[in-house]
This record gives sequence, structure tokens and C-alpha cells, in this order.
Amino acid sequence: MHTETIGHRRIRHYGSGGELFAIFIVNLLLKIATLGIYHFWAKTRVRRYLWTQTDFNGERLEYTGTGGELLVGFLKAIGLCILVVIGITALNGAATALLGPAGHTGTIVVCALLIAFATGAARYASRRYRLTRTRYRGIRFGLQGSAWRYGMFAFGYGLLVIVTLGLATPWMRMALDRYVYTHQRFGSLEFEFDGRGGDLFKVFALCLLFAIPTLGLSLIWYAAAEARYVASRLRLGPVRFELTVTGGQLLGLVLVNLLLILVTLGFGLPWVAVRTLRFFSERTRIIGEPNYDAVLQAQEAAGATGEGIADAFDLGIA
Amino acid sequence: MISAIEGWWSDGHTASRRRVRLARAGGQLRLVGIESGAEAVYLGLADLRLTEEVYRGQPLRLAHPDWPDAILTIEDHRLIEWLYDDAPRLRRRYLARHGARWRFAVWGGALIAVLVVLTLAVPRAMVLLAPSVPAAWAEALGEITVETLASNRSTCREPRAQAALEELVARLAAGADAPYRFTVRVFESPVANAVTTTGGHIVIFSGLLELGQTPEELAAVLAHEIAHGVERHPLKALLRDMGYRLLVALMAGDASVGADLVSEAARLTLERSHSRADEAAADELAMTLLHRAGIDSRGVARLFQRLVEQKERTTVPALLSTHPGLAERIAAAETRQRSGKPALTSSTWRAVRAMCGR
Ligand SMILES: [Zn+2]
Repeated sequence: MHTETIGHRRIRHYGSGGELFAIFIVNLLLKIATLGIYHFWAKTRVRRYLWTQTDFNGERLEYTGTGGELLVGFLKAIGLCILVVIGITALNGAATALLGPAGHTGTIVVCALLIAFATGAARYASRRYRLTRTRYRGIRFGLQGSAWRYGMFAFGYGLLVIVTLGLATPWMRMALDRYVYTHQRFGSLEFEFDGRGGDLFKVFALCLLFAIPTLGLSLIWYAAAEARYVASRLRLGPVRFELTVTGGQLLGLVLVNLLLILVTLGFGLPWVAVRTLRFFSERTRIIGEPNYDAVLQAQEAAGATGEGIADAFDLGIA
Repeated sequence: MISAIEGWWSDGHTASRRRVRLARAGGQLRLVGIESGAEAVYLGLADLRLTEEVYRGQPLRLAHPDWPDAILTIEDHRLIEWLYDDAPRLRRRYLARHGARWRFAVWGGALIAVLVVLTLAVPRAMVLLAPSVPAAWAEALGEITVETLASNRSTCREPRAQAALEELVARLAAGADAPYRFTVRVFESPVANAVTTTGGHIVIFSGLLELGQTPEELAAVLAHEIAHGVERHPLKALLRDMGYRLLVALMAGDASVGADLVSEAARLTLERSHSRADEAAADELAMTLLHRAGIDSRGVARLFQRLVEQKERTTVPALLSTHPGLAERIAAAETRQRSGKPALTSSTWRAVRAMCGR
């Protein structure tokens, strides 16, 4: 399909800060009225708006998650946390009795490992929840793979990054992205990803070198380079992606967003959300088109517990 | 009859979509493919719903429980009018009748109203709880507060002076129906100030002993602090503060930074007027306590006068910042003051003034 030229923009975000702000106000009212329990429905409402306003080649995304699911996921996560705390307390008691202070230190190490690992797993499970609740042309997205495996990867690579004083960061980022994207699907159509950390090392090292004289701002250039690279290495069947964001543009976005939040005392958040989505939509190109007739619905269920854990620890995933 | 409403139909089995023409057939909506000769699809009107809230300029998207995952997209908003009477669930998420400005005004107004009511009501409601807080809790909390103050100051503990102070406090407190026994403690500090914690623990900063030239002035301060304690002002202030914090916690989440600031500003403004009311009440009761104990109450106005003089000489002293509106208070004291017994003998007064080793 070469009728769609490269210059043709095919992702559009139609959201308006004003509409989103009105949603925020209603949410705030209902949260006050329900002593905060409405939080889960509020989150769902915001997502439904943002998804619906995202147009992809003339058809909009659809968000099908519900506040009830999120609440149940959150309660399950809380239950899980209580069990873990009881388990840790028991472990600590037993280890201290058997090994003395060394046992206590051991328990603390186990705790730290568990948290590092659970954070990654929760992030993955939360992504799975959101993807399975996202539909395009009636077809659900999906994420296979194991959240626990991802958690282990995230944890292992995290250690590697620490040991190499940060130099392994590109490899970690690409390995984690590879795990996510190669397990991601649109119905029966699978995403492919062949990004490699080695390709990013040169630009990463350069940005790291300039991190101190630029007070860390050079890392924004790395973030832009990485995002461009990831997009270029991603495939969905015959579909290729292209991102044209530059470090300077990304810095501008971040600075203006920060300023908006500060000047409006936080009330500008809806506008920040919308302009950020618009920023990336405008800079994304999609080349090629899948054979939609051949994309079938795939059955996959996913609970909201991972999302609940993410919510319980406030991992800040919108 | 509106003719020729068309839309896109995706059946939820594949990602393909086909152009369909909509027609009504009894209680159902019939979708007929325009290009292909595929079978018509029938959707019961009663269960037809919008997949999301629809704003102006946004296509309508319809779902039906008989067709999970299927979606019907229609640009033409006349559909709502067309099916209005027979598809009641279609109205639920249709918000395009009003613009963003209308929604903003209505909901923003409602939010402001709720916030104003809550800001006024919640702290007041919390204050109403004060009588039901057990005296033991208030005392325990007050002790913690005093210990916190004590952790970075030294306490003046000269036994004879301490005994005289305790006796004076007991004499003054005897005139009121206090829910707890008052204690008094003097801290070494250049600040001329006194505070009462919850549970009737009075703290005097030694600067006050230097400021006051007569024992009656000290008695005036003690009577005032005892009056705060009798009226449970510290507990009420605490509960009020908790009320504001509760409000902030309720609002946190979406716009927490702004909500924090707004509520903090409201708290400061309201608290000032609250504490003025509390001060007037404490002054009133303090005068009564002095009279019941038979102590010369001219010390009150005299002490206030000294504070005014000190204010003229230096920057704002501590007692002023927590006890505002001095001029009116002097006037109020002078209308009720009368002579009486001395608060302490001259030798005990000397001992008290010297209790911090000066
Ligand atoms: Zn006072």
C-alpha cells in the first residue's frame, strides 16, 4: 500500500484540555462525595476519554476497562501485600532466631529484592491490563509473556546497570522493550521488535559524558534518540513506525509542561496531558497497513491485580 | 424520517470494517452493507449503548451485548434524535448537547459550592467532637507536646519557685470547672510567651518572668492560659487543624498542589478569626478567675501595656504574634479590673523571677 505517503499523518489526538478539565472537576466532586473510592472510576473515565480521542487512520481507540475491575484489582493487591508482610515477619522471626543479626540483615535483603522485582512485575501486569482493555476496530490488543519473568529481567538488568555504573543502561532498556514488544499483539497480529542496546551505546555514552556540564539535560537527547530508535525497530505485521521527535523538541515539551503545572498550581494537568499526547501523535508516522481482514480476535483474559499493585504503590501509570 | 444515515461496522471477529446503511425495522436497527451483499445485521434498540461519552465533533460509537467486541461508528449525530424514544440507553453518555463551557460552568460551580460548604463545615464539625475526646487522651497528647518542647530547652526547676507557681495555678483553677488538673512548667528561653497544650499543661518561657514586673502580671498570664485550657481551645484548634487536613486528603489526587494551597490559605484566614474569638473568651474567663481567687486583676492591663511598649521598642514579640488585637484587649481589661490580694508574696515572687538563674 504505497498510497499512504510517508508525510501523511495517521495518528491524531483530538483531546481538548477544557473537556478533560471538566472531567477532572466531576471526578474531584465524586471523589469527595465517596471519600475517595471513586478514584478507580475516575481513572477509568479519564482513560476512556484519552483513548477515544486518539485517532488512528480514521478510527479511534476504545477503552473497555471498568472502575469495578480496578477496585477489585486494588483490593486483591492489598490482600497480597498483607500476606507478603505476614510472610516477611515470619521469615524475619525465624531467621533472627536461627542466625541472629545476620538473619535480620538477610530478611532486609530479601525484602529489597522482592520490592525491586515486584515493581517490574506490577508494571508489566499493569500494561497487560491496559492493552487487553484497548480495542481498535473491535479487536483487542494483548500482552503475553509472564509478569514474573519480566520482573526478574528488570531486576537482573537493574543489578547489571548498578555494577557497570550505568553503562549497561541501553542494553537494559532494549532487553526490557524486547520482552514487552515481542509479546505484544493486536488481535492475532504480533508485534516484532529487534532493537539492540549496542546500537544505542554510542549516543548514550555521549549524552552521559555531557550530563554533568548540562546538569543532566543531555539525557533528554538520549531519551529522544532512544524513542526514535525503538519506533524504527518496531513492526506490526507489514506496518512500520517512525518517530521524528528531537532532543530539543522533547526538552521544549518537558519545560513548557513543568511551567504550566507550576503556574496553574497543578490545575493545568489536563492541558499538559493533552498536549503531550498531541506532541507524540504529531511526530509519529505509520507506514504500511495491515490486512485488516486477516487480523482475528484473540482470546486472552487478564486480571487487574497487577494494575492494583501498581496503584497501591502509586507507580504513577496513567 | 431522516434518510441515509451511514456508518462503519466492525463485527468484533476480524479488524475489517464495512460501510453500512442504517434502517429501522420495528424495535431493531438494521445494518445493510453498501458494497458487499453480506447479510444484514439486526441490533435491538433497547440494548444499544454508546461505548464512551460523546462530545461535540466526536463520532458516535455504538455497542450491543449480542455482539461482543463489535462496534458501529457513525459520524451523524442526528442518530440520537432519530432513535431517541426507542433506544433509551443511547442518551446516557451523550454529552454533545452542551459545549465544554456549559459543562465547565455547571460542574465548576457545583465543585466550588461543595468545597466552600466542606471548608466551612468540616472543621466546625470536628470542633464539636472536642467534648467527647477523653480527658486522658488530651492529657497524654499534651504531655508529648511538652516533652517535645523540653527536648531542646532546659527546664527551670527551683523547688520553692515551682511550688509557688503550682499553688498559684491551683488557686486560679479552683474558680473554674476544669476537666483536668493543670500543671505548669518553666522553660529557659528569651521569648516572653506562654502556651497551653491539650490536657491543661501550661508552659511558661522564662522571658515572660523578666517582662512582668509584678506577680499580678504573672497571675494574669496564668489565668489567661488556664482559661484557654478550661475552654479546651488547644484541643479545638487541633481538631480544627485535623479537619483541614482531612479536607486536603479528600481533595488530593487530581489537583493536589492547588487544593493544598487553597485550603492552607483558607485555614490561615479562618484560624486567625477563630483564635481572636478564642482570645476574647479566654480574656473574659481569666478576669473572672482572678476575681474568684481574689487576686488584684490590674495586672492584666499592665502586662498588655508592657507588651505594647516592648512592641514599640523592638520588632514583634512572641506573645503578640500568638495573641493579636492588643488595644481592644487593654480596653476590655480596664473596664473590669479591680484591686485585690497580691498573687505572690514579695519573697516568693523574687524566687520565681530568679528560678532560671538570672
Ligand atoms: Zn491566649
